[in-house]
Amino acid sequence: MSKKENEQIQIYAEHIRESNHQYFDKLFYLLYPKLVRFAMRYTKQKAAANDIVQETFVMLWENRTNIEPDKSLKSYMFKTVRNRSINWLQSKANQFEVLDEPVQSPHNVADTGVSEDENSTADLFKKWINELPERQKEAFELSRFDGLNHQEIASVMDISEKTVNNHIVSALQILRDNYDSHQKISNRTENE
Amino acid sequence: MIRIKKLVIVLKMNDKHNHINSGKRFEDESLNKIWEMSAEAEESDPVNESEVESALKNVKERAGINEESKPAFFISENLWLKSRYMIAAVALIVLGLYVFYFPKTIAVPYGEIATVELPDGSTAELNSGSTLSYNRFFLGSERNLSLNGEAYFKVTSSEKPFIVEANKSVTRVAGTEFNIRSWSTDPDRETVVTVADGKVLFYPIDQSENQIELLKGMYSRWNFEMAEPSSPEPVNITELAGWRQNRLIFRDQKLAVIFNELERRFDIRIDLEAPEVASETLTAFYTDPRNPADILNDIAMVKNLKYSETANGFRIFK
Repeated sequence: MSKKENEQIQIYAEHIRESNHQYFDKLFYLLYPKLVRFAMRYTKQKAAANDIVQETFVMLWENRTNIEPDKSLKSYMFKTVRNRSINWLQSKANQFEVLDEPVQSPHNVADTGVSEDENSTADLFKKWINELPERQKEAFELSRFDGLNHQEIASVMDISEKTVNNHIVSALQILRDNYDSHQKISNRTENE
Repeated sequence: MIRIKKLVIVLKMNDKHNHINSGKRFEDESLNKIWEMSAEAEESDPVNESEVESALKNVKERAGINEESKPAFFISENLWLKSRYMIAAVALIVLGLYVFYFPKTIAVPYGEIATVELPDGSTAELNSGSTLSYNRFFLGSERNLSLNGEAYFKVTSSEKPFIVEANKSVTRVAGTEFNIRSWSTDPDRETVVTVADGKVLFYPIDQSENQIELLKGMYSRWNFEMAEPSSPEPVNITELAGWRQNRLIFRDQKLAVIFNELERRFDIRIDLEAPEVASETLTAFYTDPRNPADILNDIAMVKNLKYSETANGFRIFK
């Protein structure tokens, strides 16, 4: 997300605080798809992700007068969705039996483990990203795909900016090592 | 249109604040490459437009936001007619209260400059990308406004003080002309007040004991890291409100600030892919710049940078 978009969100925030629901709509159009995608990284279920994000927006409207104009509303939304998603996972784990709906996440091609011929760079990277340590994966994806800056990620994940940076650099190093060894193997097979 | 361009460019290196996370550049080149490649693994958006629409409808129902207030129960024709007037009357009262109590906000688009007449006859000229809010009728004992951006105020004299809040700073006047520059997007969120005529009081919010008095031709600046505003210094008025005549004036200005200014002035997007230079400073003057590429060309030359055009602006790199 660009800097301009961040400024935009802060302007929306001010209007929402003043109960202007048209700006609530605008914020919704801008963030809803991104937040659902983000929530699905935890829940793996689209229905649950939809519920979580919708509840978050309902709560935002109910608490609109408490919006702090100096704080990033975007970070706040991501943080709330993250907390709710993690809570949802925990409550789900506590239930005896849950009938999982078929997972339709576009990235789950990679996390099945049994991979057919994974040739495309995209598939390879999806697989490697899914194998990253959890916190590194979170920080990396927020930075790479959700376009949050380090400060925003730090506030979403409740860690320091320095740790955010360390996570992202470590993630990239792991991805690079994976990529390098993959290159070696495919070069070797080509040479044979 | 004749362009009188570039008088002098003086530069000063400032490497103190190098820690900036905005760009995605890693010292290790191999990591940059991996960063670029991993973009391909981005998942597509899981929801389509109609799903977003129905989700929004659902959320608004649950949050109790309804645009057209429909009658929740059946009412007889006659009663319904009467109640429509009632509803209309209530709506008018609510609207009236809204108009009275809620501040009006004016946001100037990028690439444009706007002049606003305020309820007391004062005017505010707003630079591109600025936002100004104020109470519609200046009710109460003060004329309160809040600003994010840059504005030149001509204030009519009145008993009621005219008070502008900007990024935690307060500028308080009786009747005068002055310029405020205060961008929440600039690195220091600094506020600079310059007085063209009359007298102005300037202080951090809730600290009126630290106020300083600024007279005609003086300026002062304050940011969150300063205990009190800087002592008044003389300024060339045409320089500090130069934006009103389309001038661009950067005096020992950080590159990050300059790029922000160019983005707003020309409604473009500038991606700085060499974040380490963001806090280097530069001094430059332009009388009526029409083409951002000319300015970037100058900056690139003195700062040893390269630039290239993108779909909606420029990218700058080493």
